[in-house]
Amino acid sequence: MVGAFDYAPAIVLLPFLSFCLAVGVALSGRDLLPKGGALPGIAATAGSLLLSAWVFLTVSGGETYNETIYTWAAGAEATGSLSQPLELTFGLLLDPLSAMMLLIVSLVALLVHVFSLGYMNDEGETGLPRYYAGLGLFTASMLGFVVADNLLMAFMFFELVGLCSYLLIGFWFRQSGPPSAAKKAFLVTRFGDYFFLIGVVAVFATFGTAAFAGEESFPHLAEQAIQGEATVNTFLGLEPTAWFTVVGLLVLGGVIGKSAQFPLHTWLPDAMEGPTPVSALIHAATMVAAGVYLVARMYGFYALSPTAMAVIALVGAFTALFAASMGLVKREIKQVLAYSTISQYGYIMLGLGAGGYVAGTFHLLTHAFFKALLFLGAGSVIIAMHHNEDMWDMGGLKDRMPVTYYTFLAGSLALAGIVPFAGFWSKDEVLYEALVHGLGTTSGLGTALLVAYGMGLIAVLFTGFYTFRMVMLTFHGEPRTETAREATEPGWNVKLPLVVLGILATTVGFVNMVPVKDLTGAEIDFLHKWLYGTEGAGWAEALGTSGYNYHHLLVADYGAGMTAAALPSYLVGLLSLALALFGAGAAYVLYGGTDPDPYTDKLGVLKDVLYNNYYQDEYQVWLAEGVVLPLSKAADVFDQAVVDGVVNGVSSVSLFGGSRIKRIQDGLVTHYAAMLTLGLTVLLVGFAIYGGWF
Amino acid sequence: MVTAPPLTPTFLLGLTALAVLTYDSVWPDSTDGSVLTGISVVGSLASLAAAGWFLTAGTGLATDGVSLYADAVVVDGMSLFFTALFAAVTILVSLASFDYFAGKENQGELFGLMLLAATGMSLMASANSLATAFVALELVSLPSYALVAFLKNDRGSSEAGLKYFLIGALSSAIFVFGVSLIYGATGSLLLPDVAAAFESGLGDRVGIAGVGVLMVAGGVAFKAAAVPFHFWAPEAYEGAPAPVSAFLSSASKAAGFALAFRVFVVGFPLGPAASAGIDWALLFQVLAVATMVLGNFAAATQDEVKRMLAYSSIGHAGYVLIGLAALSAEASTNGDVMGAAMAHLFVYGFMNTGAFLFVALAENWGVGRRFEDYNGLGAEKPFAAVAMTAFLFSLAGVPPLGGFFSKLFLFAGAVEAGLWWLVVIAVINSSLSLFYYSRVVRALWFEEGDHDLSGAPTALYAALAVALIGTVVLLPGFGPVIETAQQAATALFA
Repeated sequence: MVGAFDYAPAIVLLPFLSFCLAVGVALSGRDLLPKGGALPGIAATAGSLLLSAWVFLTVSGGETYNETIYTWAAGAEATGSLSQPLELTFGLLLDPLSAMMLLIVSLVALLVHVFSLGYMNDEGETGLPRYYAGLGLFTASMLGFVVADNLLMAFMFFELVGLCSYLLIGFWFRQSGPPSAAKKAFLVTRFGDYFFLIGVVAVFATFGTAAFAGEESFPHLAEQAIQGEATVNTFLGLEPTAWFTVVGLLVLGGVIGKSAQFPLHTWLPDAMEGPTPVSALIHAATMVAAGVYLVARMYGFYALSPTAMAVIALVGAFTALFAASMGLVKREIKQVLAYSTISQYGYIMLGLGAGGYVAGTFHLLTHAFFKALLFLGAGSVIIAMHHNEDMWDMGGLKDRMPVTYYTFLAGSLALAGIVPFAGFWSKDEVLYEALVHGLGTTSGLGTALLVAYGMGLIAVLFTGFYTFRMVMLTFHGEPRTETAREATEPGWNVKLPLVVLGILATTVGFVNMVPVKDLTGAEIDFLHKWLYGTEGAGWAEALGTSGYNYHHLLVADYGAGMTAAALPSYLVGLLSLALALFGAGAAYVLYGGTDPDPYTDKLGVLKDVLYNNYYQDEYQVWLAEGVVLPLSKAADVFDQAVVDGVVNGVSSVSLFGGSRIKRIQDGLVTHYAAMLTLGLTVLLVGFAIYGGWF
Repeated sequence: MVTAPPLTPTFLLGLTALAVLTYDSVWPDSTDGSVLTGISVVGSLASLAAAGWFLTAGTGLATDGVSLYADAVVVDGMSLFFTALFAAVTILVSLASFDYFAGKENQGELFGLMLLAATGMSLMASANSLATAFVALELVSLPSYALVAFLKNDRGSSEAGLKYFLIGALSSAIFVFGVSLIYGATGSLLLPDVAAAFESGLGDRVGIAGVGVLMVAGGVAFKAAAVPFHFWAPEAYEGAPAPVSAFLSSASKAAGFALAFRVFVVGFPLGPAASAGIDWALLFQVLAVATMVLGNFAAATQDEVKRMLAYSSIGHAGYVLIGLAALSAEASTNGDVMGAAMAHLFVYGFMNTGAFLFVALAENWGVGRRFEDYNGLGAEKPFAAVAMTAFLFSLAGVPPLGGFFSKLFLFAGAVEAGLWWLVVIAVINSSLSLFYYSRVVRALWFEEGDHDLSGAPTALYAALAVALIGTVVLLPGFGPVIETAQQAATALFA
C-alpha cells in the first residue's frame, strides 16, 4: 500500500522543483511566470504542507520511517575496531520530531511566500525570479535537513541552508549593506560549520556510521560503548565519554554558528539587511532553527555527556540574557526582533541543555510561529512606513493598521511570555526544567544549570521590557512623522499570513500546558506524549529517538546523571510571569504616553555599550585584523621569501648551471673526444673500485 | 601455404631502400622527389603494417619470439614494437623531406640512406648476438653521418657531419672493444650464451667482463645520446637538415635503447652480474641522472629552438634510461618499468619528430632559428602552431597529452621499483623542461611578430598532422600501447 512515507521525498523535492523552475525562467531572461515565480513557489510549499500534514497524521498513528534511499559511496573495508565498512547514504527519518518540524517549516514557508506577494511583488521589486528561486531552494534545503537520517546528509543540507541565506540576505546586491551582511553571515556560520565538519568526520571515524536512529545509529552505539557493550574507535587517548564530549562539542560548533549563539551571533543582526520575509523565514523556521534542531535530532548523543549538556545550557542562557540586554536600546524595529531571536534561541538551547527535550522542542515550535508573526508584522509596518525602520519615526500606527496591530500584539505577548499566549507555556517549561534539574542534580552540572536558570530568569524581565517598548513606540502614542500619519495597511496577501500566525501564536501553547496539568491533573500535555511515545514499544523502542529514551539516558549513571527536584510547575511559572509583567509594565509606563522620551539615552555609557552590542563586532574585527591578518602576512612573507626563494633559487641555479654546461659544448671536436674518453675512464675506474673487479 | 618470414618488417624496409636506389640509378638527375617519397612512404607503411600485424594478430611472435640464423637474430614483441616505431618515424620524415628537400639534387641518396638506416635500426632491435649488434649499429651510423652532412654546400651541415662521424668512430671503437672483452670473458657473442657464462660464474675474468660491459654501455649510450657520449648530439641535430634531426633524435635514439634493453637484459642478467660486482643498473642510474640534468639544464639556456630541442632530446634519453636503471634482479616490476620506457619512446617518436618537423617547416618558410624569430607564428599559421604547442606540452608531460601518460607510467614504475629519489630528480627536470618548452609557446602565441610566409607545404603539413594525431590519439590509445610494450618487456625477462 502506498502511504504518506512513499510521498515523503516529494516534500523536499517540490520546493526544489519550484527553485529549478524559477532559475530556468531567470536564465531565459523573459518574464514567463506570473508574479515573478511566486505562484509556483506557493503551489510547491502548499503541496509540501499538505504532504507534511499527511506524514504528521501517519506518524500520529504510531508509524515511523527510517530508511536509506540511496547509497552514494560505500567503503570496502572496515577501519580500526569497527565491524562494518563506511557507507555514505541519503535517507529519510520520519519520527514525531521531524514530522512536527516538517509541519512548522512548510507552513511558515508557505506563509512567507504569500507574504512576499505583498512585500516584494506589490512594491515593484526587480529580480523576483531570483528571489523566489532562493526561497524555493531555502525551503527545500531546510526540509531536506529536517528529514535527514544521518549526520552527513544533515551537514550537506545544513550547508545548503547557509548558502541560501547568503543568496537571500544579499538579495539587494547593488546596495552596499546587503552584500556585506550576506558575506558576514556566510563567513561567521562557516566558521562554526568548520567544527561541525570535523565533528562529522569524527563521528564516522568513531562509529563507522552517522545514522541518527535505530540499532546501528551512532547515539545508540555511543550508549553501548560507554556501557562496554560495543567497541568504537576513540582518539587522543580519551575514554569514550570524554571523546564523545569532544565530538559533541565539535558538532555544537556548527549549531552555535547557525543558531546565532554567543559568540557567533554577530551575523544575525546584520542579516536584517535582507528582505523582511526572508528574515522571517531565517529566524522562524529555517536557518537559525536548523542549529537547535540538530541538537534535538542527536539528543541521545548529547544526553550521554554531562559536560556537553552544561555547555549547551550555559551558552544558551548566557546568549538569552546577553542578546536581550542589547535588544533594550535598539532604534530599528527589525533590530529589536533580531536580538529577540538570538535571545529566544538561547532559551531553546537552555531547555535542551537542561534536560528538557520536550521543553526545548516546545519553545522551538511556539517561537517559530510567534517570531514569524512578528517579522511579518514588522514587514507590514515597514511597507506602510515606506521602508523606514526607525521606531522613533513611527508611533500611533495602532489605529491606521488594526489587523497588523492586533496580530503583532498577540505575537508580542507570546514573546514576552504573558499567559495564555504561546510563549508563556514554552518559556515557562524551559525555565522549569532548568530549575528542577539544577536543584536536583548534585554534580557540577546542577550548579551550571542553576546559574543558567538565573540568567534565563533575568532575561525574562528584559524580554518583557524590550518587547513592549517596541510595541509602544511603533503603535501607540501620536505619529511622530508624516509617513506614520499617512500609513495605510497593505493588502490581503499581507494580512492573511498575519491572521493565520496570530491565531497560532495565541493558541499553539495549549498543546502542552504542564502547569495546568499539575494544577488540575488533566492529561493535556499532548506534545509531551507525542514526543515520548510509548515506553518500550513501537517507534520509541525501534528508533531510540523518543523522549522516554532520552529521559532514561539523562538520569542514568553513565549518561548525564541528572535528577529532578520535586517542585510544582505553576509556582515557577508564576515567578517568571511576574517578571515578564513587570518588564512589560515598565515599558508601558515609560513609553506608553503620547510622546515618549528616549529614556534609554539616560543610561549614558551603558547605553553606548549596549547599542554597540558590547563591541562584539569590533573585537571580532580586531581578531581578524589584529591577529589573523598579521599571521597571514607572516605566512605571506614566508611564502614570498622562503618558498618562492627556494623556487627562484632553483631556477637561477638551473639557468646558471645551464650556461656553464653550455660552455662545455665549445664546438671543438677534439675536446669532445677528450671529455668522452675522460668520462668513460672515470666511470671505469669508479665501477672497478666499487665492484672490486681487479 | 606461404608464411611470411618473421623478419618481414625489416626486409620490407631494406627492400624499399633498394627500390629507391634502383629508381635513382635509372633517373639519377631527377630533382622531383614525389616518386621517391611515394616509394619510401609506401614501403615504410608496409613495414609498419607487417610489424603491427605480427604484434596483434596472435602469430605468437609477440609472446614467444623466434630466433633465426643460428640465433644471431630474434624476432619478438620488443623487436616488432620498435620496428613499428622506426617505420612510423620514417613515414613522417619521408613526408617532410618531400617539401624540405624539394628541388635539391641527390634525393635518391637521401631516401636510400634513410631507409637503410631504418633497416639497421630494425636489425638492432632484433640483434641477438653482439656481432649482429655491431653490424646493425654500423648500418645505422654510417648512413646517419652522410645524412647529417647531406647539405654539402652548407657549412653547418658538413661540419656537423664530420663531428658526428669522429665521435661516432670513437664510440664504435669503444663498443667493439667492449664486445671483444665480453667475448674474451665469456667465450661467446650470442647473448644467451653470454648470459649462461655470467650465470655459471666468471671466475677471475670478472674484471674483463666488467670493462666490457661498461664499454658496450658506452656504445649504446652513443646511439641514445646519453652522457658522456652525447657531445655529438647538439651539433649534429643543429647542423643537420631538420627532417634528419627528427629522424636521428627519435628513431636512432630509440634504436640505441632497443639494443641496450636486449643486450643488458638478455645478455648480462642482472642477478649474476651484480653479485659479481658488475652492477649495471647502478651505472644506468648514474647515467640517467647525469643525462637528465645535463640535457634539461643546457636546454633551458639555449637561444635557438633547434638546439633547445637537441638538448631536450638528451634530457629525454635520461628519462628513458630510468627503464634500465630501475631494474633489479628477479623483481616483478621489471617488465612494467621497462615497458613504460618503451612506451615513452613510442610517444616520443611522434611528439619529438613533430617538433623537429615544425622546425623544418620554419626553415622551409625561411624564419630564423631563434626563439624571437618564432614570434607571432601562431596568428599566421594556426594549425602548425597548434600542432607545435601540442608537441611541446606533450614533451613537457602536461596532461592530458600522450607524453604525460608515458611519463606517468615510467615514473610510477620507477617508484614501485623503489627508486623514488630518481623520480624526484626526473620530476624536477620535467618541470624545468616546461619552462623552456613554454618559451616557444609564448613566442608562437603571445608575442607580436611580422613574417612574410609562403604557403603551407602540403607534405610537411601532412606529416605534422600525422604526428599530431599520434601525439593526441595516443591518449585513448595509450592503454594498448603500454600493454603491448609491457608485455613485450616482460617476455624479455622470462
